[in-house]
Amino acid sequence: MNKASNKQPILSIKNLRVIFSGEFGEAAAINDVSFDLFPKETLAVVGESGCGKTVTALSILRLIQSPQGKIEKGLIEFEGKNILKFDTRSLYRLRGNKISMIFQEPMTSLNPVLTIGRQLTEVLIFHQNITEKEAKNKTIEMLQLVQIPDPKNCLKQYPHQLSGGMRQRIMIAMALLCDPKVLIADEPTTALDVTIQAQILDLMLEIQEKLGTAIILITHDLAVVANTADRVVVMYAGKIVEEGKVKEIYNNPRHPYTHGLLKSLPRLDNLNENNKKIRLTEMPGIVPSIYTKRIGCTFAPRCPLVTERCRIEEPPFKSVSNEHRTACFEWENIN
Amino acid sequence: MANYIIRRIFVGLLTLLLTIIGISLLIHIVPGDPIDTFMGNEGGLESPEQIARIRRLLGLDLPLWMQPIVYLKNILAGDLGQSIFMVTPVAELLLSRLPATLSLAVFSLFIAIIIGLPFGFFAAYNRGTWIDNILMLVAVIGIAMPTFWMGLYFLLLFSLILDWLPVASGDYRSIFLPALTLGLTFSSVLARMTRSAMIEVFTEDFIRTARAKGLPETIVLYRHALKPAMISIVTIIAVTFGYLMGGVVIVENVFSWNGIGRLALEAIILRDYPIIQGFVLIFASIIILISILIDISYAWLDPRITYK
Amino acid sequence: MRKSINHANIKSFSESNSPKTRSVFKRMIRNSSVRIGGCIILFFILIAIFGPLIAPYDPTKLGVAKRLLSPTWDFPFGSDALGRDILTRVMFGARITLYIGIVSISIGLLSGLIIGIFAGYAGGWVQAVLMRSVDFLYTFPDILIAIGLVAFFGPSLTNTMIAVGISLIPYYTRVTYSVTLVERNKPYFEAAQAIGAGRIRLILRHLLPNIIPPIIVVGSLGFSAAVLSAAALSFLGLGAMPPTPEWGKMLAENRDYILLAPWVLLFPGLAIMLTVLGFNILGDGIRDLLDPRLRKDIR
Repeated sequence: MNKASNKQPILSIKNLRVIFSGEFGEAAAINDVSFDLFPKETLAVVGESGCGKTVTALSILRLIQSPQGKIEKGLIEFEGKNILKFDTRSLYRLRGNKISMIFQEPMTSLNPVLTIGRQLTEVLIFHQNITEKEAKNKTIEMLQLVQIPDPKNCLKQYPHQLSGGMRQRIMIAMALLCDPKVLIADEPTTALDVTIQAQILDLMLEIQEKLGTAIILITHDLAVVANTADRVVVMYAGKIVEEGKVKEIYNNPRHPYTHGLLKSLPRLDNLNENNKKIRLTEMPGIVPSIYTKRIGCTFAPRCPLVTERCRIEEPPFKSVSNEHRTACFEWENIN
Repeated sequence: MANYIIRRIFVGLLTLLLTIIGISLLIHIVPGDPIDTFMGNEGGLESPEQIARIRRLLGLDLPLWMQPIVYLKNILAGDLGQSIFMVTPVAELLLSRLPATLSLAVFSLFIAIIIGLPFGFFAAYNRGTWIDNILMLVAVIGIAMPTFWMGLYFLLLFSLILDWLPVASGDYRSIFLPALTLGLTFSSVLARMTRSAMIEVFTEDFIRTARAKGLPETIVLYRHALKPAMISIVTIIAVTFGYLMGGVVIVENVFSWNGIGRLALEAIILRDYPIIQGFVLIFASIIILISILIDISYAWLDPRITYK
Repeated sequence: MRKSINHANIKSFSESNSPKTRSVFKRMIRNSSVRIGGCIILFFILIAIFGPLIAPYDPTKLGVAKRLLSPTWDFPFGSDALGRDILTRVMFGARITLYIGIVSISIGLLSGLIIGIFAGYAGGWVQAVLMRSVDFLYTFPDILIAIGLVAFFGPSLTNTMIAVGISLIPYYTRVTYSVTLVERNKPYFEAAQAIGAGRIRLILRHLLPNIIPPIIVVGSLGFSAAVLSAAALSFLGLGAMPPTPEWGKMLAENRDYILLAPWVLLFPGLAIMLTVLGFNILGDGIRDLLDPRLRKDIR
């Protein structure tokens, strides 16, 4: 997969920090998150549940529910302008139009009391100011693109009449109707059957070829990342711990967490030198609550390579080779 | 769709039938001879002939299993019995006053809706802010305020002091005070429930999707949030309708409004049993009818239902 | 007050009985609704218990004051049409109201608990018929049920309490039934059954602790409903008999004098309102604590 990585990033997130205030106090769901997205590439954002990947994604389109959540600081640059400073109208023009998002639960992400057709055409009508008839035609085209059988009839149906896989295709169609530059996919296949999963991912890649959309793929499934992404960003407890090209990261992880994640992938050839089956490796401990105050590296409590320095000082996010960055003091010592 | 409606009506009729049977046997619930209950344990004041006459009037001289059948037969013929103390047939008495009660109920509901729904909607949208807290505080005070107390003070204020509205003139203007009283109390109940329902709708995934599509907030609210919310609101009205009707009875008393509630209360004090029976019947019928209508409106509002 | 408590709102309080219980209790104390409601209720109970001991006058003695006096230093709440001190009567009324509430809730709650658990276990057509009837009665206004019952038993305070208690049974039954159904289907319940726990033990040890939190909510709200219903019944002449200083009755007795002496209705009504308010706020506060507690919504 060759993408022109010397181009300018189409989306640039810098030092993003999002806090949530609840009755337990205030806490940062993500802190100092920075990464770039280049045109036509697929960037995967990977991490366990609760690491902040969804919050990051929602922040891009400013969909964080206030007053509980707030984007406290940071910069999100799209086409040279800071999304966080957009006025409402520009924000409306951005969403669903230049940057689109699809969500994890196709079952509940569609409005049950409106027809599929309505929910699709309204995007076109609003953003492109065309007539309903034109919108309908374009919608049918798009439905064919996402391989929905009998698109015309589908328009008149309601979401509950379709299967999960079909609904997710509808969501994809909905997101791509206005030919956005960026598609954010938040765990699009997690709620689906494995077989459907493969179909949906293939579909997304196909469409990316055709339309040239850049994709941010959020997932916790490393196998999915290996199959679909160009670059990957690894998140842990609200911070980015490693970033780089997929092949590089998978072959040469430079952060203990990434290393641990990769090691805990069950493999068919899980045999040791005596050809006996090895136990699945796991990382001890659990992800800390966002409400616990932290000093030093957030991964320190669980890290096999932890030193005293790690517990006191927060490791900076630094380059270790071409396009490969990590936040770890011990990156050289990772086997 | 038609299938659903027919089934629903059938269930409703069945419930009504059971209610009728229950009503006709109501007087037997209290242990002892029903006549004693009816007489209020005063006994000895009536001559045996009078007791026999009353027994016949109440249909108590028939065997137990026949009583509901006879009652049902009479109902179908439009005969709800004869009032003991007033000479008129029960049906006539009740039906002549029914429009008054219904108009009061409808008007109160109307006032409650136009005040309560926007309140609840607004509070839900601004959930967690001071607006929400103040609105809900007002609502909870409204619920805590006894309807009859509010009614009396309204009477004082608007009729006696300000003389804006007549006390019980019988013309159309006199509906306003009782409707306002009941409407305000009920609107507090509606406001709180609307708020809960709206909060649920606002946190739905499909609202997030609608926003992610770039739709302006107004379209998100009107096109995406309103219809699902209506379903919840219709449910709320169904559930609290009984509460409204209960309030009607009280308000009729406070404002001397000539509806069936007031009649029923008088009948209770007088132990005019046939009227009480007829009242329960009509009341139950109204409630059953409303619940059928509500269920039908679900089918219309929610596409998921018809395809079950 | 009939609040809609549907199945979705009844979540399990705890899969096990320990640490969460304590922390929820702590949260309860910190919650402002619980505090405010709790204070009002505490005040009410104190007046109910000690009021009659410190009340300045005799609540039933006629002509203690001039009739329909507006509030003065001697008679802070004024006097009613028969020359009785309203402050005293309100204080005695608090005790009566507390009594009414306790009796009504006891009847309603215990019956509702038994019927609800029974229905939850019964299954089959018994369960269906039972719950259908309860649902139907639920849509009937509790005031009318109470009025109807009092009509049969005869107007008196005792009968009012019983009638109001009975009118609340559908309310409690539904809640208990919901919880029973939900809990019975939980894995831990089945597991306990599988290792041979007897039915009684299951009910006492597993079911009841999970019923308690929603019951507290519903109990608090039910108390306020009972107070309102009883006051309404007395107002309509079906409840307390003179000279009992029940608040609703006081309003009924003096309603004709509202033009002459508007304040005479003020304090009894306010007493009703504040008491009901206190229980409502408390009930709501606890309910809000229980519900979103278990929904991890941060979007």
